[in-house]
Amino acid sequence: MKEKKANGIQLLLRAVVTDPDGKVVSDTGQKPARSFLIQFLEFIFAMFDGAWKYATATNGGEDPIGSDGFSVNRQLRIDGQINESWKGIVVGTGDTAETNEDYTLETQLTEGVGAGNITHGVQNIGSAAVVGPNVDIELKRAFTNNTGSTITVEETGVYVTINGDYHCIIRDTLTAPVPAMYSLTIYYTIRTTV
Amino acid sequence: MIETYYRILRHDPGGRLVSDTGLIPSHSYVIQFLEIFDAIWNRTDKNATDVDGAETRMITTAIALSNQGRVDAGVGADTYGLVVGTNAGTTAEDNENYSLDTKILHSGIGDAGKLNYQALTFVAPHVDAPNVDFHLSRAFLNETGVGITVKEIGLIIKNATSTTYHMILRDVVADELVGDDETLTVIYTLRTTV
Repeated sequence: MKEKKANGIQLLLRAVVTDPDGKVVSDTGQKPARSFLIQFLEFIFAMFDGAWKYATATNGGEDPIGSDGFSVNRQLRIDGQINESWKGIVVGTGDTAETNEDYTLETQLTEGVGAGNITHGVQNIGSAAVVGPNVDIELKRAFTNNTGSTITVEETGVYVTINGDYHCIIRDTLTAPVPAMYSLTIYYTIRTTV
Repeated sequence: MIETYYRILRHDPGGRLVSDTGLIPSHSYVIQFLEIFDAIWNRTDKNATDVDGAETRMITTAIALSNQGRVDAGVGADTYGLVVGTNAGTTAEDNENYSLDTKILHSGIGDAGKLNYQALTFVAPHVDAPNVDFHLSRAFLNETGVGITVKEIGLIIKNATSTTYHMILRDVVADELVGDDETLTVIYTLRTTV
């Protein structure tokens, strides 16, 4: 039998910075991301087993993740809205290297226009579809720097909420300077391929 | 990335290990897997191609997740969980596979061409430095009196509400001749590593 490399569930990260007129000033292109966290596998475990599992929440506590009596539309929600910083793709300034057991961004940029803030756009969620030899789902979110000073974004991730508890399922480090009034758009592509 | 591996072991009636493939890269998540997350993240009901080739409900958002996406099959349940087959039609892996080519059914009394399906078991996601591993395992006993050759393996989820079954993972494997009274054990490992 011909041996092939493990494809598994791939994760790709792209970061695009645009000026106030929408002109692209930097684009990393799609790069392999490294950092599905243990919380994502714990959710899959919960679903496969049909029972609550506990996982480390963004506040460091142990909270339920996945399954049991709550409906699907209360599980693993990433549908972050405009000006909402607690679910969906999030960004921060922490540069500590990723680990499997990260449970939060190191220093998240929360919603606002002051120091330590960034303005969150709506979370876009694509559909699973065959794209060439792959099956992809794309997650996309834009952030605008309305603070008046340059922000250097050095980490990004995905927060989910499950019936009021919050978990981080992805975290990656990067370096993306975002000048005042510029926007940063983060794309995560989740891909399977045979 | 979530690396995914399978491992196949055979034991003789005395419990002695006859063969062990070691970890082999899996490369065959099929589209139904990402369609689960499409449904959860977009909070929308999702039909997908079931194991019979029909478009049926895989995820209903208003229903408890604990009734959907389950693989925790018990003894004798050959409709979901880890399953094995003979791949009589030599179907290659494809992103849009929706069933094993030729699934081997369960028999508890040694019916010809069938295997005795044991319960699927989990080893919860755990740190096994430098990785986080999640194992799913199932044993199949050959009581037919003659050898059976396994050439494909897969993972099928159950929607207990609509009683539908959807395959999310399929691998074509090197021939595994399971002798009479031998036990075949298949292990899938989902692994995150940063």
